[in-house]
Amino acid sequence: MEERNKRTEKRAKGSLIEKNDWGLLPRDILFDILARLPVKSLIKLKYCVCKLWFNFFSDPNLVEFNFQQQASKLLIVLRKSGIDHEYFSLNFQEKRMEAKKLTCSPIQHCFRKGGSSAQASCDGLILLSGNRKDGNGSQFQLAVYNYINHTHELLPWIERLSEHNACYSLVHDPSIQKYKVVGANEKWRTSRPLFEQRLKRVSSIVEALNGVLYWIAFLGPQNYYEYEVACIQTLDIAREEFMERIELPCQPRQTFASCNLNLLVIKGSLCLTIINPASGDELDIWALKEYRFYHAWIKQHTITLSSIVHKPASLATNFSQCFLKLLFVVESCVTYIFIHLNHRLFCYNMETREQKRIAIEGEDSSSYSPECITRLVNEKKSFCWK
Amino acid sequence: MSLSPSTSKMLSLKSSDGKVLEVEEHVAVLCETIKSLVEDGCADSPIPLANVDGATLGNVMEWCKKHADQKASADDLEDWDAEFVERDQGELYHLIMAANYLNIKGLLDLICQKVADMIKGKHPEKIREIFNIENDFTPEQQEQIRKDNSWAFE
Repeated sequence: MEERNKRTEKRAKGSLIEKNDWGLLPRDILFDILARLPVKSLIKLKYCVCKLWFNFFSDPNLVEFNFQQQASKLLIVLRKSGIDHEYFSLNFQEKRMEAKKLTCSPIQHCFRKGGSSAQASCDGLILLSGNRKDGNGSQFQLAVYNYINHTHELLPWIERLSEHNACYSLVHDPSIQKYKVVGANEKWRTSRPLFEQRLKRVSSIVEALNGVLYWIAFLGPQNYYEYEVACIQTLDIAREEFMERIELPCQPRQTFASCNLNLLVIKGSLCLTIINPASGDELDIWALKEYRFYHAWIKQHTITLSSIVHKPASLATNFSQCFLKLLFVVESCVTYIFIHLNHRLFCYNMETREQKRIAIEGEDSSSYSPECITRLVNEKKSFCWK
Repeated sequence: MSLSPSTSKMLSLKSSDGKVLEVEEHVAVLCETIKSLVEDGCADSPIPLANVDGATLGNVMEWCKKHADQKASADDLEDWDAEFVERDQGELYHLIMAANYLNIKGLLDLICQKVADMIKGKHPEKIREIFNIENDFTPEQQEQIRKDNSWAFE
């Protein structure tokens, strides 16, 4: 009781100090407070309070501020047969891995029903391609969808690039603080003769690291008895120039070659995952080490599918069969692999070697296939986009 | 406070309005600013805290004392903190400034979260009032922004 009296006494004293000026609050504290608000509140405040706040929220460097309150969230895009994408969010910090359903996107109005697919994602922005709804049948359309504020931007049609067989990536160019869409198809040529061989096709698996975009390109055979050759092509994102070509440590199995390869960034280095050509049940992870004049591939891990998922012996599935759905996410220095196997989505922690099944809200397991998983930790960054 | 059974060394802190507070060292060092003074051996005379008034310093030390208590459970602290931040805006402002000056991350986090909760869902007009911000948009600008970003106002 005495304690309480003391407290009220202090409170009374405090309120006597009338002169307080929140306007004098140091800017970093003000922004620390604002960073704790939900994105929806921020969107309202951005446009309504004053120019200082407007400029603050328009600053693409917003992400530099320490958004400590942001939970580590992933956005999972699932595709159901005949229906367009459904969006789910997954919170890594929760014990139970359950993907929660998000409101449907208005971008679905832009595409024919069931006709769009997620091409790439970056900071909560999703690049979609598909057939436009209006006009004659096969008009190809690319669109960038901002999941945070549900806005989208339709990309202009570009000759030779706006095609279904091209592959696209969405990258952030830190030099101009903007997002760029990079596309490539098999007709693509460079001004410099980078390829002696004909570029047969490009894989849609791309990864950006330190301002360089990497993707896997397949070079066509020069003779009929040769196989196509996979290699990594690099692009300087800021200068929009092609850089060197990097050879792979080994060539993938020829069947489903593009599904056998994947690029990801683990602990700051570019890594290549490749299904062991011999077994088909093992996944090798190679890291690219850059030296001054050359590159070297170093094998980091080998994972067997049966060690990840308790696969019944009768089940013939091997890595290459679930690989299309195999996705990698690096979260606080731990790499997770997402595997879609037996109509179930699993998450495998490469450090602890534990796997968890991810429950999908309101879905029975068999009706979907995951199409894209992206991090949402920078959701406030994409909020600035537009 | 003098009845405290702890044998911890006492520090005296002097507020901006000249009040002197005797605080156990292990409590006061929750303030990084004071901790570095203690570590540098500059904490002998009453430590002058020119930016913190007596009432606020009392509140801050009350928080430090609770959080320095090894026996307090996490749940207990959470409940206690929730009650601690039930204050008017004036007090919160002084606490936030003091936590910043004294460099107490835990307290700063707590108050920032409280203020964020306070302004969550508030009308921009109300927020301007709280933060004493002048609306420097012209009505034309405001209208233009509203038009360009109608999605935000749905």
